[in-house]
Amino acid sequence: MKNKKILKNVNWFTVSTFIFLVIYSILTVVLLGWGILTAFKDKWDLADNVFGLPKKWMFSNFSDVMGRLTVPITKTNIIMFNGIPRKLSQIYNVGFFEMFYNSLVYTLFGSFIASIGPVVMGYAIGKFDYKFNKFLTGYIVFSMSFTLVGGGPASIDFRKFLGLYDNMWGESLLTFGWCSINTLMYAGIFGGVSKEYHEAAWLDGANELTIMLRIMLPFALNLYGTFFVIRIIGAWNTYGEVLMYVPSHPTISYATYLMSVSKDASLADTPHRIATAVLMLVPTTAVFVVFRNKFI
Amino acid sequence: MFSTVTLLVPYYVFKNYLGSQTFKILLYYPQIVSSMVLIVIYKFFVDQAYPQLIETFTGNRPYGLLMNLDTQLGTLIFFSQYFTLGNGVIIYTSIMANTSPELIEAAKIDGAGDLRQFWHIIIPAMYPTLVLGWMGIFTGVFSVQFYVFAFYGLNAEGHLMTISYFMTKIVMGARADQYPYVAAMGAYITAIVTPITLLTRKYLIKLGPSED
Repeated sequence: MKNKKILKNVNWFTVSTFIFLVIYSILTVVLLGWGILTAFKDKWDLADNVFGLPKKWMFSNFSDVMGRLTVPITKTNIIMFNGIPRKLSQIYNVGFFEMFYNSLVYTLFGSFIASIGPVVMGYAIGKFDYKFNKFLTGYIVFSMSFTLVGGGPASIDFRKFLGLYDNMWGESLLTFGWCSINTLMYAGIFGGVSKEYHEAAWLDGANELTIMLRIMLPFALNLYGTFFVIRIIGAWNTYGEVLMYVPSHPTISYATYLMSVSKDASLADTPHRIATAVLMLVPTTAVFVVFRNKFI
Repeated sequence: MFSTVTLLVPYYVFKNYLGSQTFKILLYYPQIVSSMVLIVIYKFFVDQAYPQLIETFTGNRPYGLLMNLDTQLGTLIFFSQYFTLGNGVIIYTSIMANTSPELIEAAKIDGAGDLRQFWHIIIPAMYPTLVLGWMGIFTGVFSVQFYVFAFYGLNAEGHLMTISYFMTKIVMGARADQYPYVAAMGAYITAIVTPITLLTRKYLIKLGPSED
């Protein structure tokens, strides 16, 4: 029966797309597989044996990375020298575990802050019938269509103005926003919930905040969970924003980027560089496996 | 545009044809993994493993694809398209899933094949979303980098430089005295691109198909 269904759908579209997807899949598997195997080799093994299994499995590559992966940052302090204030710049090496801590703050706290805005605005737009909601919806659609080119300098100046530049907690707070498709999706869900729930809770003495958190939010919990997991993965993998806005608080992703482009890295051979990348792979793969139903 | 041409891939997954579940996992997984991880692995694969592979089959060892000036840009473009394919599949498959199943069923009963359903039902249903993607082409001209910054940092050679990479190089290079010029350049580009984008959107929607 299943074979008959497969044969029924054989035409040039299904065959050519199937072949394309097989080639894509082989490329993904070969790339990742080669990367993982290379992470377990030493540089001499890699030179002689590019594609084979490691002659000796170098688990020490990973401990080397955790022990020696550092990102140099410059800290400038004002010190008094003979009664005259002077700037003293020192180079400080941020280690793996401090970078891991920075990654956790940005990933967990930043994702939590980022996920609040769309829920609250989606609730306001979906649940309350005000004319201003049309402006808000139009603003969201316009901001999704409108791309500001070259906004980096303005963003850096804005953060300096607020005193939040180069501050990991501040940068996490600045992830708060609501101009995204998520807001419209929440608005759709909350708008579809019957008004009777709201009225019944109101009659029982609940205020608006209680109604939003305890009555309405459970309806959107599944969607919130999906967006939160996607946001966590994105935040863990981000390196550009960290590099630009929080240069003194590098994350693991930032370190991986820096190591891949730097010629002076202490872990400069290919197996160590790839081992760093593979270490970054582990948490996101674990999240993907655990929450795969939310993605597929 | 390449991601629009590859709408057939999300359609294949949406129709749940042979291997769809496996392909979904392999298409989604690069999106979950950091682009940085794939870039590191890809970089060393095309420069070290690829020459070895070609030497094994042909006896001649070529330069790595990123070492050869003739293949550098093509290699970067190939990676950017490979990496973004899964993102398109995620988005477009979700949108296709919102198409009325009764419409598709009625088309099947009337004898419409897969491609006819795709052209006459799926495309009109997701046309507004496609228009949003096409609008991105205009800003994309000025914001595309093909991951040059991720591959080379601030040290990319001149023939790889795009407008976006040029602006990124100034901002990331911490040349604060140049910030006003980058901001002004961005403002000029935005002022030129925005009306073109909005007008294009207006006329594409007006002239395009609809579900009716």
